[in-house]
Amino acid sequence: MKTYYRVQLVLVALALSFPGSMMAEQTPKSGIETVAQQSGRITGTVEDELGPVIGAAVEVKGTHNGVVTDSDGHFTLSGVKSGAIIRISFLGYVTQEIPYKGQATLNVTLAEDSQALGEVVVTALGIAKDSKKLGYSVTTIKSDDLIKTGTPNFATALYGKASGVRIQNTQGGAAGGVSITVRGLSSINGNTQPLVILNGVPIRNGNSGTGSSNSSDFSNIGLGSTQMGSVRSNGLTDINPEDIDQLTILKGAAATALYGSEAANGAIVITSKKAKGTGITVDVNATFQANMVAYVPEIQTKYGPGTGNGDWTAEMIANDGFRKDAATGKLYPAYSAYQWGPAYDGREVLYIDGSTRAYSPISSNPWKQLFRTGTDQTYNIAINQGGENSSNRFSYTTLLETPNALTGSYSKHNFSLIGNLKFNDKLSLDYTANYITQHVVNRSQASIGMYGGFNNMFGAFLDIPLMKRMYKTSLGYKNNDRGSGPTPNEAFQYGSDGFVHGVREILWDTNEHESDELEQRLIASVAPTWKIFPFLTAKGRLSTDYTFSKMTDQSNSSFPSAASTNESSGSYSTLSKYYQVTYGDIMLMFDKRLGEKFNLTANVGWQARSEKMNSLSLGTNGGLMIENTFMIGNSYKTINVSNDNERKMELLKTAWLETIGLSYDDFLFLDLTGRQEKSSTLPKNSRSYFYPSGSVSFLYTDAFRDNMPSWYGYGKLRVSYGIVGNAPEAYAANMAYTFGSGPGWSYNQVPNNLGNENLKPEKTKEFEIGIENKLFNNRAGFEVSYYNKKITDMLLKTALAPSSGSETMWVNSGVMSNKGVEISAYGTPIETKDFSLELKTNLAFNKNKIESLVEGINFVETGDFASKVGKNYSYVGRPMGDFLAAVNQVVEEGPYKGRKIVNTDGNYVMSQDYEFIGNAMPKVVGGLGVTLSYKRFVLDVMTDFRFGGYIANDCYRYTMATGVNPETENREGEGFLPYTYTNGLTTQTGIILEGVVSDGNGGWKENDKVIAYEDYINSKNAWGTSPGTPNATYQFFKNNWWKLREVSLSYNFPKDLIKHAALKNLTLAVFGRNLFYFHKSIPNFDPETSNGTDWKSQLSIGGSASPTRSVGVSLRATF
Amino acid sequence: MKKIFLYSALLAAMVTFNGCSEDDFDSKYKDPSKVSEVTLDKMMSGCMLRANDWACSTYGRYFGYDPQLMGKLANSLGFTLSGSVYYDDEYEDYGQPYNSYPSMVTDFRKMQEVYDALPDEEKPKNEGYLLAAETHLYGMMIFILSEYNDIPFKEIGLVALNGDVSYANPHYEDGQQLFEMILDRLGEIDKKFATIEKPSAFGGQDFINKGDMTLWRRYANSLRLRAALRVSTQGPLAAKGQAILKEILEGNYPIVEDLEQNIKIARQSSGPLDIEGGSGFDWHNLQTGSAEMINRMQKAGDGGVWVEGQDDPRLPLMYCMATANGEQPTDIESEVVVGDPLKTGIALPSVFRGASANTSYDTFNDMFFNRLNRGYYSRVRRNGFFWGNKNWDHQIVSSFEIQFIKAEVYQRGWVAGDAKAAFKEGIRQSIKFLFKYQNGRSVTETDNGDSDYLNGKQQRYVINPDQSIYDDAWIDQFAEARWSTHINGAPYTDGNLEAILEQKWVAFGYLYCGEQWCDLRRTGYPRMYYEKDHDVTAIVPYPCNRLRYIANERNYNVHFQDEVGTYDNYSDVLFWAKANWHDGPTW
Repeated sequence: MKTYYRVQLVLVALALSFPGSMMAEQTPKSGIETVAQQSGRITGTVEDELGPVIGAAVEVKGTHNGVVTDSDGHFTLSGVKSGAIIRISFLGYVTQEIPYKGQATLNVTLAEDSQALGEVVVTALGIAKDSKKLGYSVTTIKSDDLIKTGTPNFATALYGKASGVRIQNTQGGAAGGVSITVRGLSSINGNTQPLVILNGVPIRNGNSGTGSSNSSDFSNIGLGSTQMGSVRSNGLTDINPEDIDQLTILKGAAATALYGSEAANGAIVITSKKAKGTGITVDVNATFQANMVAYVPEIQTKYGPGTGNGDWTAEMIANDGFRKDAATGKLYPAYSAYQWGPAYDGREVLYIDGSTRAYSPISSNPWKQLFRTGTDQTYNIAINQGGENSSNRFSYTTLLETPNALTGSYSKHNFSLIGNLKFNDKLSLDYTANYITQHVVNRSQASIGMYGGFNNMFGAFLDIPLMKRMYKTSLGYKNNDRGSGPTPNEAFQYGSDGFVHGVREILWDTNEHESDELEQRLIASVAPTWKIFPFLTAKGRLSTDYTFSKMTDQSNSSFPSAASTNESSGSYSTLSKYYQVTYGDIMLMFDKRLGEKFNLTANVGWQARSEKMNSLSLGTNGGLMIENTFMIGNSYKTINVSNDNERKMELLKTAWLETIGLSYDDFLFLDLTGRQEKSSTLPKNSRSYFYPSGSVSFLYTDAFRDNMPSWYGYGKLRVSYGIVGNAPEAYAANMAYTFGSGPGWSYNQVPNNLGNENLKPEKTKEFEIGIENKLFNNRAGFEVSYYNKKITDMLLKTALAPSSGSETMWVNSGVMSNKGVEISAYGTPIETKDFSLELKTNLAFNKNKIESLVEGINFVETGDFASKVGKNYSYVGRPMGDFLAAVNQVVEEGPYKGRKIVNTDGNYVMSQDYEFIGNAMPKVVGGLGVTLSYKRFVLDVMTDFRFGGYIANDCYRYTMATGVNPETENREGEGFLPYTYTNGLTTQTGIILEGVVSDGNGGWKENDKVIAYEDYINSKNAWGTSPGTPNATYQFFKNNWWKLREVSLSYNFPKDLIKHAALKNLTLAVFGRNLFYFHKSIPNFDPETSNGTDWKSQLSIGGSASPTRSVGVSLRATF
Repeated sequence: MKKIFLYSALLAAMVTFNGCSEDDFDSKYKDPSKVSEVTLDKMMSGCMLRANDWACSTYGRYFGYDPQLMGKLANSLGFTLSGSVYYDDEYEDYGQPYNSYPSMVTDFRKMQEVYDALPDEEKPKNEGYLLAAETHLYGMMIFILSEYNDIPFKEIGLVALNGDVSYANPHYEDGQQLFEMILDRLGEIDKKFATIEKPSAFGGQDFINKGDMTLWRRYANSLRLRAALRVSTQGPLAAKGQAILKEILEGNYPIVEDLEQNIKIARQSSGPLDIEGGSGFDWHNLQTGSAEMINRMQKAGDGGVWVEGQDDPRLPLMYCMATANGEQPTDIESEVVVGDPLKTGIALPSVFRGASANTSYDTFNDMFFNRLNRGYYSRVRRNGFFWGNKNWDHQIVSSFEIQFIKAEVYQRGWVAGDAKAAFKEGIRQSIKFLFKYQNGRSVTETDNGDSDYLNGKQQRYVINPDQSIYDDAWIDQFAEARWSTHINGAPYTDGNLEAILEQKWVAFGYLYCGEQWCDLRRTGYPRMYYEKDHDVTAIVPYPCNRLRYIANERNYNVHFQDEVGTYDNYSDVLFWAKANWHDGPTW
């Protein structure tokens, strides 16, 4: 009866996996039962130097008679015939073979296998391979490395750990997005994020914060202006690091060829933890971390608010730069967002609340009042159940975050079930289910909103606790200028623009505006395996990744709607979005030894993937009718509905794939793959396309074993070549007309951004060669790879001449290359019984080059800064991302040749054209880690770095212009010249710029014109529309840094001590993340605060939430 | 046997799995939020919307293109002489008329394609859509031609229609020939509008003239007048221009002669014609009254004080008041506070004062921070009038313009007629025009966001003239005086012709800065003072004669360098314009 149930289960599973009908024959009896003969019985324990080994395989060689060790390392094996060989094996250990001579017990101590370090890695399509067979580069990161410092998402644990892999976190706490770049950028317009594969199935992941209408991610969920400044997330951050067993990064085209177009940017293959061994074990861990806002800009505390000496009126000149309140006769500073006012001197002045205060700095660190210490609590429980015919791991993780912002919260619950059912020795089923639900209240705001603007600078004379009370009136409305509003007595005494209002806006938005996002995601799969013959296996897989998100956004009414007959305040909007990825594949896998030395593997398979997205949004228009009542129907004006309110997307991709693997004598391996893909995003005639890959792995140490020194344990040379095609995003190719309407009429237009019915897939061709070496019993090793990647027929959303009538058109044009070298090395220079020191490092050099674009086009614009003051262009013949800005005009000839030209106003004359400043691409990125072990203590230190390249720093520009930056503190007195402003005021604030001025006769003379320091600084920071006006060069900085990324100190309790508590393992760790920079080239700001995960938004800093420094403690226990 | 059965089952499964048919791919290839078939009526509306950056006071025009470029060139908005003031290489950002012109042609080409594919018997019933779109297109095109001269036309839109990037570089065409083509076509269009059947959906889809075929004739003929006048004064098309002026004015063609016939786009409460633009404190300096204009509307010597019943009634309708003696109020946070009666110690402003082009660079900071923000200069009266007025109509052709065209043509003697009467009618129509929107205004939003919710404080510093005083008799008397002497009593240097063009310039106010610049380049009137740029390296030391093509055109059109690259500068004089038009004596 039991067997019958199993058959039913198999049928259900197979029916799920194979939509076609299928009949299963009666399954044979299990292997163990068939050989169960009551002859020899042997019991024993398998241990390694640390203790019992759970899950080691103990089998009678050449039979199906085998068991695995239980949680104490025990095993019992029956039916062993005398003379049989008992084989004990466990991954990573030397396999032992012991003849059975009738002994009743057998205790085995396994030794780590340092010679044949044949690690099994999961490659494309979930095919597990011995790493020595791979002809291409992969990086595998194990669970321990991911959870060491309690990072809330796995991607931020990858910093510096894999060569050629660049991580960029958008900050914003656990709900922020993460960008991963593998081997340089491979697209100008498209997605540059790698494909994420979870247990064999592709899951939703996209860029955050890019706002593409058909974005595969939930990044563009924003509901209008109130959400514009917030930091969004992307799909890969949903994967729970606690559930990951190993993570493999497939970099080159040969490695990812089987995944096809989606993996043109590399692939991250995640394998979840599975139950190991038999019996039930329970893992529990708890992590607590505190996140402190860090690397926020310092502010100067010498000068108070004001726009500058030149703006003093006669009355202000008479009052040392202060204004006089007509009602009280008291002096007060000229409030503005600028801090170019009089120096703090402690005199009594009128404050914004009507009180009298000393004119002295109130706070040198406003951020303390504007952020709090955030916390992350992570609790995880995992129950592992292993048996003969099934294994299951259920895990529940909850993450509770209090963000650094003064309001908001984030919580995530992750339920995961992963298991395997073995129906008999031929049929088995793997299944996974991940249910993730998360709730975000008020996503973090971008830091540029806090310290990057002319209206909301935080000077030292601002009493933020007072502002926290004053931003709102007793009636709950936004507070106002003196004398106005329904509560005029509560209003600000002065400072109605800039300074006070800007801060009021920030506080109002923080406290009186709430966005609420609820997201539910289910990732589930079933995968049956049928071993038809020992050499032939069939595998199927069916999965879904379904996300539903519901968001509301509400702003309180900031003024009474009755006060005006024409407008109202407050808003409410709502958005629902779903995204579904459905995936299925089926594979036939052949694996047979041919004679003594040859082995042949061949796979043929078919896969299909469909994606579907739908979103619907609605919002009130012109405020709320009834104050603070949040319903769509409460809209003050008629709700505007356009086709932007509803978005839909569907795509379908299918592929046939084949692989052939041939090996010779276990030292030479050849792999060939082919994939015929079909994509609905391409026009009919180019919809189907093929690409191949090939790789060779040669283990020269094995081939020439006899001639190699004994310390040279492992040496491999690998060569690969692959082609990956990449289809455009959905609807890029389709030519269609836009639709819109007004009251009672509607219209069509030819779109400005054209599709192209002749589009075909772009092709990435990549050649790679590398060596891998393991020396001195694996105490040292290194790996070097060189790759040359060329993207041809680049899918380019090219800009057209405006006179063409269209703005852009998708074309296949241009070639881009990435060439690079990746080096990784490790070593254990010291290893004694109690103490060991391990070092590991990796470096990646990548050279990106645009070899061509559309014919006749020399560059594409890839960014602009401060409204065109600076630009980012990508030129043919150069790497992507050149920064350009106006530079000083210089004398072209004569005795003053090369000198900077100064204008009649005493300021520099800037070029009217954009000139090259620097390129954004880093020269080298990498990591350096140290692990120190002493007895049961392990200290792990991970650092990572980036050198080369430039970045734009808008925040710096703003803080300078407003006189908030401490760099502006030295602005008068000694070293300065007397300067007379147009208002007649003379102060010691003048400077003479180095350069020459016109001598009036067509020649030049030494500049002798005095300019006020404040005017010079201001001119460098103007917001402009053309290159000529301000000097923008100084907002571009070299972007070099080396950061202490992670430190953890753990203690593993002795087994003897904990066994009384029924514990098998107990580890306590303290850790820190983002602790400090050893070096950074950008002063006063964090270079890692870019917004979004696409490369263009990473050209400048300030877009992300304020960065943090974290410390925490974690406790892990196994029962 | 069983195994064979299993293999078959497995194969069957794979085949089923492979059941994604071509249809599945086809259906997912098309964007569900777009349409693949279009009709003429909806394409007409779409095509006409493209001209909004020219036809409507969009945000880009009101806050960018006009105040930052056209208003300086025409001296009709106040500005200061900071460095490189007449140079603005990036003006495509301000309203983008050049960017929207080719999009409009593209939509028009698509309309032609749809029209050509209609069965012959359907064509007469649908031609009206095409003609209306074409008329509106020429309205915008006349202006674009007047900015650049040679522009692409025939090859525009081919890239979208053919879906082939090799069509992405249209050739430039001779501006003079394009002008001729428009002059001829508008004549033909008038005749067609007079005879064709009104298309069935025309009334609903035509947001300009609401399906009124006579108004479309008035529009086409008035545009033709505007274009003909532009080329008539000098240059190779002068004779043709004068002949057309004669043809229309003597031929009894319907034109826009009365306020009710104005060609306009009514603001709608939602959708793409809910054009409100923006607001914000930061834009004060872009909305400053021009001294040249304000001085021409009030008597010299009365210190900017406006006298009801005596001075030009348009002055308080167009501008807010400034502080009386340039004194700076004690509370300076924002201009709206100036003179606020709720605040103690602040005097009500009481004069009109504009900023002038010879405000030197040295006082720039002073002006920017101290004066503009503190109400020293009059700001244009936009709040709830031209801006934020839900009854506002975006004017394309106004009756006063046509009256002044008539006056100029009669005055020059090209056509026999009463120049003075047309001149007086122009002034009358201009005053009526302002009163119409003053009376009909319905304020939708206040100026500075919700902090000023007390109904737009700025309105407290404006005067609403007593309209009953300004009846026809008063206007006649006022206009009579303007015919020969300036309001300050000085006679016009060049007689009535200058008077006509000055009054036309005043009537255009700050809403038609582009047209003013065209008239200035054509005639040199009204004579005004243009300060030379103080920047020693200024590329454009005086207001330019034409605009340079926008950067993306230079960057991306492969024909640019060969066809127009050599003459793409600011100094080239267009074929219909005067050289050195801004070199008049200081006024």
